[in-house]
Parts: sequence; C-alpha cells; structure tokens
Amino acid sequence: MARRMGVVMSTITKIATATPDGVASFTFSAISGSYDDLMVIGSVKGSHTGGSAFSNCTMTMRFNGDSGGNYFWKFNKAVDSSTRGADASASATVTGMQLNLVPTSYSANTGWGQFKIYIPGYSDASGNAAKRCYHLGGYGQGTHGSAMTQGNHGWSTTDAITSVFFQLDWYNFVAGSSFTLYGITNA
Amino acid sequence: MADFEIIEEGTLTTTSYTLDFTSIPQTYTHLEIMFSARSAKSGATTDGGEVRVNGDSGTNYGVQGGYINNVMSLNMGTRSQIDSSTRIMNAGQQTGVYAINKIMIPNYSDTTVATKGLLFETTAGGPNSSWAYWNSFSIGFWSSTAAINQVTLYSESVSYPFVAGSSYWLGGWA
Repeated sequence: MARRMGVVMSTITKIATATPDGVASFTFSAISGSYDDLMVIGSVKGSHTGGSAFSNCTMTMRFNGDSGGNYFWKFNKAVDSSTRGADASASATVTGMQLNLVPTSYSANTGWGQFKIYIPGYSDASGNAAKRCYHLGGYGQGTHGSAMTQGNHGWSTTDAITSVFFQLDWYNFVAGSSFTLYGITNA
Repeated sequence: MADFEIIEEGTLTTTSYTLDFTSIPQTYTHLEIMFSARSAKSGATTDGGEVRVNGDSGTNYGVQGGYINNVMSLNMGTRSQIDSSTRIMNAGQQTGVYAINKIMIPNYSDTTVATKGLLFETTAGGPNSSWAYWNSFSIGFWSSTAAINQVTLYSESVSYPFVAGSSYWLGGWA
C-alpha cells in the first residue's frame, strides 16, 4: 500500500494527559476555550480485587466542578450475550454522567476499559441550553465476558466547559489508566 | 510531530483480500483508522469483515456491540479474529457506494494494558429502501500486553475481496 508519513491533516491539539494511579478521581482543569470541540481518549481499570472475573464499576464525568442534579445520560448497552438495550438516567436530577463500564482487578479479570468521548461546542456560551457528549467504550477479558456502551450525555447549562472531572465510582484507578484530552479546531 | 498525523493512506487500484497496516510506528498515543469498503459479491446487501492484530491468528479475540435492535457478542478467547465489526458493501448496492468504517485504538502501544480495545463505528446503505443497510457500534478485543504494530483488515472472504476504489487511512494521535 502507498505510504505517506508525517503529513498533517487536521488541527487537533493535545492539551493534557492524566495517568491516575491509586486515586478515585482527577480533573482536567483550566481548559482553554480556544478550540471548537474536545475529545478524550483513554484506557481504564479499577483496583477492587474482590467480586468475580467479570466485575466492573462505572465511571462518572462532571463539568466545571458542578455536583448538582444538572446532568443526564442515556446509552446503549450490550453486556455478554444476554443484556442489551438502553440504560439511562434521563431526568435532569442526576449528579454526574455515567460512562464506560470499568473492569476491576479481580485475579482473573484481565480486562481493560477503552473509550472515547467527544464534546462538541464545549465553549459555546451563547445560549445553547445544554452541553452534549458522545461516548463509545467497553471492555472484554478472558473468556468471561465483555461489555459495550455507546450513547449520549448532557449537562444542562449554557456555561462554557472549563474543567472535566472523572471519578471511578468504586475504588481507585490502577497504574496504566490513562486519559488524553485533545482540542479540535474545525476549519 | 503534529498532534494528529496521517501515517498511511491510499486507494486500491486492484482487488485485495486485505488492507494491511504494517510496521506501525510506536510514537503515537492512539491510532485511528478510516476505510471505505466494497466487494464484488452479488446482492444489494452488506457483509461483515474481520480484523486481526500483529498477525495473531490464535483465539485471542472477542467482540461486543450492537446493531439496530440486536446485539453481537462473541466472547474473548473463542475467536481467532474480531468478527463482523467492520462492514463491506456488496455489488448489488448502488454503484460507487462504499461502506464506511471508523476504528479508534486507544493506547495501542501501552504494554501495561493487558487487553487492547478497538472501538468500531460502521455504516452502510443506499437510497433504495429495498437495499440492505447496516449501522453498528462495537468494541473488539485483543488479549495481549504486546504493543500493536500491525492491523490487518480482511474482506468477507478470499472469494470476495475489497474492490478497486476501496480507500483507507491510518492516523496517529499524539
């Protein structure tokens, strides 16, 4: 196949990388409003060693330090071969946006969660009633099972997003967990 | 290095059973692949393709995801490739129309991550309602700590390779 190395195609800027280890949460803060969209790409795993080979927990995302009931989330979920369909907390009363299922560190659980989160128009404070996110992620491990989540999340505010908070809802992130934040400028 | 670069791109000028990205540099954080695919198989239908990593043909793969109102679930350790997460337009569909496939591979070179994940988004279809369409989201898994240095995209079968005009690019995110 033809090969063309090192050609710049897009105005994507790497803003920050976080590698949480032994903590339950972290924040990308002081995000510049100079881009059009944000993208977060990452890999995650939790520290809980009990449970079973397929144990997992959820990860929550919040914006601008707001822990009020100003969020919603609704996503498609496929877990093993038996669980499918929508999973949601669609009212504007939840205190964070539930994201990817994150595998634990039970001895037989070799899984790692992988995800991407796209946040269009994050700095638009011109009157949009809510910020929206798109995410796709999941994990698989051993012969025990796998999960996929894909959906829509929102924050009911017109504020520009200046910080993004991630929290593992059960125990801590382990070494190797990694989040990369990018700014995308549309031509 | 720019924060996003096209590592490799092209358009097939002859048929090929595979699109093979080899010797992938380890200098990026994440990989992204976009490809448009069509085969010479008859019928106004679409078919799934397969994906392997680093030339591994062992049973080290799995896939989880959904399409329309159904689910695909092929457990880890039972598959020798990632099945059906990509899509290929067949010859009975509108001339010149290709299935669109997008793949994101987070932290592809991280040897701490014991299971690599490939995030797939695919869509295929045409303007005639009698033609089959397909939209899916899925994640494919490769059970290995090894860094990914090769990704091979397979057409549905050797008998129905990708046709000329199928195109692709591989990008790296810093």
